[in-house]
Amino acid sequence: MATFGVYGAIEEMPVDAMTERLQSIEELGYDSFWVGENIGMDAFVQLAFAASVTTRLRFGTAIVPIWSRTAATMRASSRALADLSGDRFTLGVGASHPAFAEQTWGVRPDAPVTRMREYLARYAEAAQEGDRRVPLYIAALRPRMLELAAEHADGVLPYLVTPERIAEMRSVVGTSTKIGAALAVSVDDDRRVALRRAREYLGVYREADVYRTSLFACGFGPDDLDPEPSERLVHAIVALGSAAEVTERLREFVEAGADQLNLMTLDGDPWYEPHPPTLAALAPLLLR
Amino acid sequence: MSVPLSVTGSFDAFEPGELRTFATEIESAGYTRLWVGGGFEREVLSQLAFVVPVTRTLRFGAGIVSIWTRPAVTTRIGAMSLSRLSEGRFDLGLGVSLPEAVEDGVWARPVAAMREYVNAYRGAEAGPDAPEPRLYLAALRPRMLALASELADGVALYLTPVSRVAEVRELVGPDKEIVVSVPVALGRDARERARRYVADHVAAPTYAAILGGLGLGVESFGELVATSPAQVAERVEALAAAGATEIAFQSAGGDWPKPHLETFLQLPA
Repeated sequence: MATFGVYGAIEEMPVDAMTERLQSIEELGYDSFWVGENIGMDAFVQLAFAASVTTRLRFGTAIVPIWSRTAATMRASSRALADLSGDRFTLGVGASHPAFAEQTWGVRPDAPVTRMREYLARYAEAAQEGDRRVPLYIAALRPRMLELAAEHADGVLPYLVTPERIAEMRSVVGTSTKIGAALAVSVDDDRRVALRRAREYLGVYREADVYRTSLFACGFGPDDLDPEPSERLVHAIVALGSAAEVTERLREFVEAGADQLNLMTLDGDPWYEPHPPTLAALAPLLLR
Repeated sequence: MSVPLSVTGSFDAFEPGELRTFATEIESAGYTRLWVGGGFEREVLSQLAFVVPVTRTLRFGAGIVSIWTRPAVTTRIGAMSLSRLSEGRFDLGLGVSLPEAVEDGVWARPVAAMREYVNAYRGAEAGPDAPEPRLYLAALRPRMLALASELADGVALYLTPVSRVAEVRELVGPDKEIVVSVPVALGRDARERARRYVADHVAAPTYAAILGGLGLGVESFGELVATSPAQVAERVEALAAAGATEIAFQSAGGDWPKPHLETFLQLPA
């Protein structure tokens, strides 16, 4: 049985609105709330705040780049979150993107799989007696990172993938590694509106090399990305349409092998904030 | 003379509910600020974020973030995030920690490293828009004090007797904040606990050397730790006169090093 979480950014909201949004995600019955970390808000700080204003909702980072903190600090941060939230925390780490890593932390991740392997070893060494077990997920798209995750982590966090790609990943990581995918959804009875939102969203990733490469591996070509995302690409990557149609599409990801789907709603303003009406429309269909 | 009174300690051993209660109780008691230190087990900024939503007026301080734990840009992101979530109630303390507490091979040229770190922290274009946190440097020796005087808003002093605070005021000039931590042990075995507190610190070679340089050792616990409410009042008065702008009580009694809420509630906040 798959679980459904929410992925999104709440960091630009007024603080009271942030609290309300987190509580509404919890009240709707979603399993968890996931945030990324780049140069906006500190993911751990944000989720410690979130843990304090909720009681049941679980949390995860999707993802925190390994260049942002020493492995011992990453361990101290995940320990703080696990302890303070009462075991509601999952750590997701990733190698980020070469250009972004260089610009932000002055590192050149020439061999991301090797760097990740070394980092995970130091993270393991930083464990202390009595630590709670914090599930560890790794952002992975390609076979070597998937294999590393299968060996050293509890799960993988792919992004911008199709059900077919999830099925391939399942065959690489085996049955005991969890697959938790972030998935964009747009609920609108007018498909043209949903399609336009999905195009705008995917347009953001057109120039990101890691995602281009990954999408090409899903069977798409440059024509699907340039000069704008093709309809074929949009329908493959984004679950859109009525609530029933979106739910049907999400089932295909689950059947392909996803254990967890973290929904990124595209229907709010700004689009990256979790949109309660979309989440409320899907909740009765998904969370039974 | 009146100075703001705060509470400082390491909360690594607190249950979540206990930490929230602690923060709300010291806020109600009238304390100005909660400094969270330690961080060897639980990262400091996350602990502060957890108590932000249950408080309204209490200020917060990271006391301190060690510069060896993360790149300056990450500290900038964390500090600005806390400032944003607490709506300007957060200030940052940075320190170089102790060589004996930092993983092998990392601790080197602390003053130069701190200068570079503060510049990178100030210059990083990262983190949410929020009021700029005040910046304090943990400083004990003249060169770090001089650096704080040049680059920061103030200094955070630890294990520092009153006589030394007056010298620090001379060194950093009239405009800088000076936060002084004052360990307090109350009750029947207060002196025994005060002695143990100092002994635990002197076990670290760096503290032993610094205290030794001031002519102090384990038997000087009476100069470092206040052991009665009357002594606390006296110490506060003397520190304010010497130039302290904020006093942070630390509990040396109770289950030291675990902060002891009752000790803080017995003191005049």
